[in-house]
Amino acid sequence: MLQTFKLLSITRTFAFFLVLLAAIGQVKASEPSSSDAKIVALAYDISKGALYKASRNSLFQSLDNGQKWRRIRLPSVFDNSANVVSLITPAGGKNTIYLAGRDLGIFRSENSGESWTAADKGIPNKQIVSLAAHATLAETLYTVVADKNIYRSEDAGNSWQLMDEGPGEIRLLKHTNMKGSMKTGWLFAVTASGVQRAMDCFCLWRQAGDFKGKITDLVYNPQIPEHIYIATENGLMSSQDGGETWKQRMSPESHVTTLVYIPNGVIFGAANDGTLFRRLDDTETWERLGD
Amino acid sequence: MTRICLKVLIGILVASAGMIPDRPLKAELEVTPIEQGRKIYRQQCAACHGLNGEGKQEWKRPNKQGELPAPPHNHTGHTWRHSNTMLFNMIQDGWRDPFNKTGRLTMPAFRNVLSPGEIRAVIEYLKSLWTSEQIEFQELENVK
Repeated sequence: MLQTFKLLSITRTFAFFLVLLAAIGQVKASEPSSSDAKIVALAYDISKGALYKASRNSLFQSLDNGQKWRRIRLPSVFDNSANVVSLITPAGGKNTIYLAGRDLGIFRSENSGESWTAADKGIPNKQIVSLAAHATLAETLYTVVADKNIYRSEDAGNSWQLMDEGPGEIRLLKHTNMKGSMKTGWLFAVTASGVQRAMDCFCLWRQAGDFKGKITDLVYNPQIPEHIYIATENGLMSSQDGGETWKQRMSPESHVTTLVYIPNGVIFGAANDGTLFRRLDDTETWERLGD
Repeated sequence: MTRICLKVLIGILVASAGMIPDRPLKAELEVTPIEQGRKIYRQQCAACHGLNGEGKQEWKRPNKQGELPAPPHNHTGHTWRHSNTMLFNMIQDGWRDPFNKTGRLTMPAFRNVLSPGEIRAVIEYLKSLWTSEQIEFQELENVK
């Protein structure tokens, strides 16, 4: 009888530890792990006040400006070998997120990541180089595919139309609502030879700045679209005249590779070691967030 | 007498018939918008954009003052990317490239030079310089 009781007790204790281990595993799975360290893109949903960060194969959401993060479940195609290149939210946010990458194509979630649908019908292949949201039209998107061409969707990614060959091999594409366009805004393309810009009618690509180093991201102030920031391998630079002239800016202690400009003028930057930084409006000081 | 009258009548008819070629036919009176547009284009636009819409040679490169040379309007340019409304507004009101370092308009306004009908005729002429694919693209832009 005593032996049976002891056996039961041991079994219970063992079961308790098993449950505890499983729970720890679950917690680990919902927080960024070391494999998620390198952040490839940041995005901000204005409608929800949500900051998002993506690694090559994972996505996290923060509702407290980067203090705590919640992992968002992704489709199985985002396995360990996935290669996310772009994370965007459309104009107005609307709880919508797009993720795109090499071999992945484009995925859209309209419920902050609860469910996902493919949004790349009409694009010749799934080798997405970059995905950009129109600055003011929520359903208009632009993408650069590995064939080097630029495609546009005006129905939230349900269909795509070939628009232009672009200015050369594009690494990154962004749309801004800077004034002076014949159409609705301007496209900025980061290429091997620096930044190129064109009105969004794809009328004429022109050089915007002369950079020697590699540019890893380009963002603009949504309230003053002429104010542009770029992350380069030589640190951060900014332009206050739509890319005509650039000057070196103060950079955080770690090398920032991706940025997001949120409506109140705050910029978040992520370093290649996964560290997140924040710069308040009109300051040169970057504050480190989290651990 | 009747024979004489008949001969005179025939003579008048023949003479009248001979006059017909000297008078413009109805079809000739109705000049197509493309033709009208071509004439206006050659008077008002060709000096900058080229006699056949070929534009300036270095049109992709801003000059030292940041001004863009006149682009082509034929299939090698980007005019076909714009809707009728946008083209109309551009011709009527002009347009200034924001990176132009002079105070001038990049494209001058023709509000006081061309009537709305003449502007529309010029646009019709420009369309005759595009490929069928470009015309198809522009038609889609028109319905947006």
